[in-house]
Amino acid sequence: EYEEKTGRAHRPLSPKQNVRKNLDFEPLSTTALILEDRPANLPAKPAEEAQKHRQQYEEMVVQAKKRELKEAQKRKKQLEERCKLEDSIGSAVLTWNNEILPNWETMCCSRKVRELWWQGIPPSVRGKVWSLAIGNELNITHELYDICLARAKEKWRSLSTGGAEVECEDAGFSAADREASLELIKLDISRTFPNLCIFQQGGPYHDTLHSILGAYTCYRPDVGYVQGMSFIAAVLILNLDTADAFIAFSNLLNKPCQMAFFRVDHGLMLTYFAAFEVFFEENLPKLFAHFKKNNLTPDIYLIDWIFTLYSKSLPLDLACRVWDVFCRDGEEFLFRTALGILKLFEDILTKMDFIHIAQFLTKLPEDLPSEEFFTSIAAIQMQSRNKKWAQV
Amino acid sequence: AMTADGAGAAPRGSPEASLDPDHLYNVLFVGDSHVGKTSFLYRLHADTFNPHLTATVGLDYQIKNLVVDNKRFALRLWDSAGQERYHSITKQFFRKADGVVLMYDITSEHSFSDVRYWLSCIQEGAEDGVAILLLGNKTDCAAERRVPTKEGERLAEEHRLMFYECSAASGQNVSESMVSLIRLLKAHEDKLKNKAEEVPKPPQKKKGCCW
Repeated sequence: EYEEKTGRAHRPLSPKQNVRKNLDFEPLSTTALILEDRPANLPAKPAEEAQKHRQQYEEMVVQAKKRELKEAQKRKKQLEERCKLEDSIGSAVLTWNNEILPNWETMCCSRKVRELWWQGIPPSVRGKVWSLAIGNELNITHELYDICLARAKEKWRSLSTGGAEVECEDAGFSAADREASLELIKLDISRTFPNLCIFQQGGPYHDTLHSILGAYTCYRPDVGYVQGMSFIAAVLILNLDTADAFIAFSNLLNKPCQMAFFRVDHGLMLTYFAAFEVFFEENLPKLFAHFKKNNLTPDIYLIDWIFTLYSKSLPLDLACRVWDVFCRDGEEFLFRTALGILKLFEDILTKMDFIHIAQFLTKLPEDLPSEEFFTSIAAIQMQSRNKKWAQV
Repeated sequence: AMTADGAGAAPRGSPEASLDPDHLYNVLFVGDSHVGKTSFLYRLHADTFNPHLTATVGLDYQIKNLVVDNKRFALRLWDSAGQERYHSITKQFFRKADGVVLMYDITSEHSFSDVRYWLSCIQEGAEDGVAILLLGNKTDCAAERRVPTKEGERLAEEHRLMFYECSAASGQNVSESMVSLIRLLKAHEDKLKNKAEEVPKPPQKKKGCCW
């Protein structure tokens, strides 16, 4: 019996290959089940039973065929959608490259461009658009980056040789502090997007990330390295060359909202949270009341989201789309995104208590549906009693 | 005798997650960056070691249900970011903690010497009767050990702390230390209750039940 079974399991392999095309086949999953005749050493099947088995088998085949057909249709549809998506990305790339980027100053605020921008910037032009949108108010040049990096490297060297004569040019920050911060960068690099396996020791972008963070601590010793920065730098590295990533990084962190958070300016942070709550109540009054009742303050979930610009809590492709519109609309969009997340999960969140909400919001589901997510963000109104975000 | 189940793993809204525990405690995890706070919590929750965890930014949250001495306990675990810049954020939460787990890394003298700093933060910010557990993590890295067990014990004795050495990587003493912490928290709670009963008219101060 064993031989018969294995024999049958092997045989259908070749028919199966042409089956893919015309779907007229015996599904593989059922073939091992047919045993028309019993082995010779056993009494033969009664005719009635044999008939019954044949019938059962045929029913199974029909079901399996139906299933396969359905799956084939689904695959075809997915493929079509994919092609359509790729086409639209392709045409978007052309529009960005040929029309928008060469005429950035005049076009960047036009309605058409803003709409295309909302759809998500194609990855191949993303870095360029981000750079242009973030700008370079600080006038950082590639040379300045090289200088900062050289200084950082010097410090690493003096640290590793155990040199106690770390210079004291930046008053107010002890050598021990500085040392701890440089040490921390090293530890955190490997803890940045660990599943991508590109920033880890020996990975292709390990040194790049190290360089940018190190150079930044020399460029802005008053801010230094703060946990969360490594995620921002990593996302930029994925889309820009090293020096340009550094320029974008420094300018991005120089924005008022980022400065307030990375310097942990409690007063300003509270102002941001309070403004956020105004729009929270306006947009989602029920959930707002539920959060209030559970003493769930915005700092519980906003800190992680704002510090890492969602790159840690959202799937990376979605995070990049959030960054796209953040570059277009500024800090307001970070808080709008937060409300979009709360709106998307409003029903689930209303049923949870404090700790489960906190747990849920700091570890968002990995299969977040992107279209629904952006629809949900789009539905958030950033106007409260005729006041806009900046006014609140 | 102990059974453990992570409510985090249970499907949302399952009866188990909504099951009313007999006792509920808030526990805050503090200690220097990279000593293994998040790894410890991951081990407690999933009973495996995850070497690919990211640095905590701000705070993370987890709930853990345990049955100890035939009573159901729910621990609300607060995982904090270790970097100094974040300490002012962490400090706001000391006040709300029933227990604090202060962790250092036995392969890092620096993290051990910072324990005193953390203790002063706790003294400053937490309620008087807060239960403190001192944990020396990474016992699996025996070859790189820089802090002898004796020193941990001495420090714990000096400050009257509960003390364990553990390993999030191997799982050693992870549940054991939590069970001991729960017993300590329970004893504290009982003591507070007795006190309240002794005093004829205690000022009815409602302790914030949810926070």
